[in-house]
Amino acid sequence: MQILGIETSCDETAAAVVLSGTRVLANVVASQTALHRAHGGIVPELAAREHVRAIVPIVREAIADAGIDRAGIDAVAMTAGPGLAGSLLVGVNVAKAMAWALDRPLVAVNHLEGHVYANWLGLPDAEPPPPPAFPLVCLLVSGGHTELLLMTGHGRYRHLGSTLDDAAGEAFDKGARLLGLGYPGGPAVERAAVGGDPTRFDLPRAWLGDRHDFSFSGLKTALARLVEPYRLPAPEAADSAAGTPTGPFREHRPMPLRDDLPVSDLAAAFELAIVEPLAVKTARAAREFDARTVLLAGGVAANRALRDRLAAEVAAACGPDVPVRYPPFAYCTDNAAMIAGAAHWVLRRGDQAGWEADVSPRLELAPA
Amino acid sequence: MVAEPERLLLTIDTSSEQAGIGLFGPGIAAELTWLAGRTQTVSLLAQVHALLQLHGKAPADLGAVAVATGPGTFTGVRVGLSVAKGLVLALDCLLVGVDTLDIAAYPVADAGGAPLAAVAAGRGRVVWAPYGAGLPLRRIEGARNSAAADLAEWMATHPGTTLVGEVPADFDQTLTGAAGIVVDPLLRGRRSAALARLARVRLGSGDVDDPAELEPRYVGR
Ligand SMILES: [Zn+2]
Repeated sequence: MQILGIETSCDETAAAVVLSGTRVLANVVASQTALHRAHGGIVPELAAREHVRAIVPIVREAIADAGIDRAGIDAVAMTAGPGLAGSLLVGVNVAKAMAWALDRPLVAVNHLEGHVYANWLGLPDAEPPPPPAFPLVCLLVSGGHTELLLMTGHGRYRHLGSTLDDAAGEAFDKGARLLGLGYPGGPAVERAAVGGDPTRFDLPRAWLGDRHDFSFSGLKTALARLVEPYRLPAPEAADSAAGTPTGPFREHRPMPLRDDLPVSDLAAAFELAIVEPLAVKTARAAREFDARTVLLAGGVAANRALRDRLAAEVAAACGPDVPVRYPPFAYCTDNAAMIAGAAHWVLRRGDQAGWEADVSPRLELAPA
Repeated sequence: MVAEPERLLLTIDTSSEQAGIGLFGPGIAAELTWLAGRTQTVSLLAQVHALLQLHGKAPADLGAVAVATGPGTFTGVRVGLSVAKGLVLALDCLLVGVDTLDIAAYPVADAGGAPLAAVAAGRGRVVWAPYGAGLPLRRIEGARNSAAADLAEWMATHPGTTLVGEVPADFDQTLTGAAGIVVDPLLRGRRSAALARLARVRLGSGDVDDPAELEPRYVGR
């Protein structure tokens, strides 16, 4: 079954065609990162406008790349949530209209479930990977989410923990801003941390006892305190924002920092303070629930330090027979292949959406 | 190419909380309006499905889609445009985007009047534009986004105009006794038939929109 997937939950406009939940025939993503960079974060109204602009070329490109025509689409899937309401509704309404007009099943996919099922996807010219063995523990880390999940079978999730405040990716964004490193923060901090000494500065970890939850807001505060002495006085108010390409939307102006800010050591310490609790707690959960696989998912799964530390912690906690897996990079960050892939499993459990399907900005995967 | 006006035309207007769709073709002139509120995503496609079923038509019978491009509520306009774009992606039918104020203005202009077209933009604001008398539609000033008082003030200095379209309910207090003609609130809503007429003119001259390029019209303060 060839499923067209559409994803517009945040700041990527994406469409993909996936065969049988595993083989990616096409995966097209238009990123809005450059558009939002000037604002230091995502501006929801700008994101929604950009989705309306980008959606038609992106869907056309995905169908063309897949080498199929419209009649070859067996089902249409969309991200129903969670995400930004104004962004979600573009993909949801396009997908609904396409499914209705093509007389094909409509599938509403939870974005988080999409991230999990990205681990079932293979690159276009490769054999799909062997399916992950259940039960598995999945650490889903992105700009919007930090969830620890137990998955005992297809569509069977148990929520183990989540962040009490900032998502891991959000923490990277905020840390990068403090260090003057730009947006998005994850890759920026990772680059800056190369060669840095993570032990020079002591940053706190919120262990929260035996709980499987996470907390990163104290870490951000601690980093801000370390950076403070290196701040230069605020410059005179620059020219008014009028006439900028983004019109009425506020531009982000970073605080200037002194040249002797030990950015590499700070970035390394900050990265480690995020990665360590994620890896340790995931490994602990894997042992507690006798997981046969540990999965990483979400944009932060691309972080090298997290991958390495998680592999080491899981080996120490569970022995060498529990693999730690993560999707190819293109399927870690937001994409539609994961939506079209997950839709295969959603449809298999008989879950078809109706024409009255709505956006669900606060959708949860396994309510706590 | 089927000569106009025989092509089966679906119209979509979710520019404001009052939503409207229509189906127009040989022997069919159907209009449906409902108070969609902020649930346009839930109701729009379900109502389109019902309207086509009522007339024994299938999606593949559609030859063209006409959609209101705003101004209006940002969310409402994006719902309409997204459904229209999805239909064109699937059916490869023709697409025409029509300005929402033009839709509101059309019936008054058709009757020879000088419309002052308005659309509720949410949060107590209204977007409006004045037109010259009669057809073809001729906007005499640009659209602006303002509060009720500004609209009343404009009407006071332009007594020949007819207010049509949608304004927030409390505007009617302000507008009672205003100079000019104020159409009964129940009768001044946007008509799908007006959208269809404006779209037919463009379809007849082959003036259609590229679904990849068609964008909402945003009128900010
Ligand atoms: Zn995501």
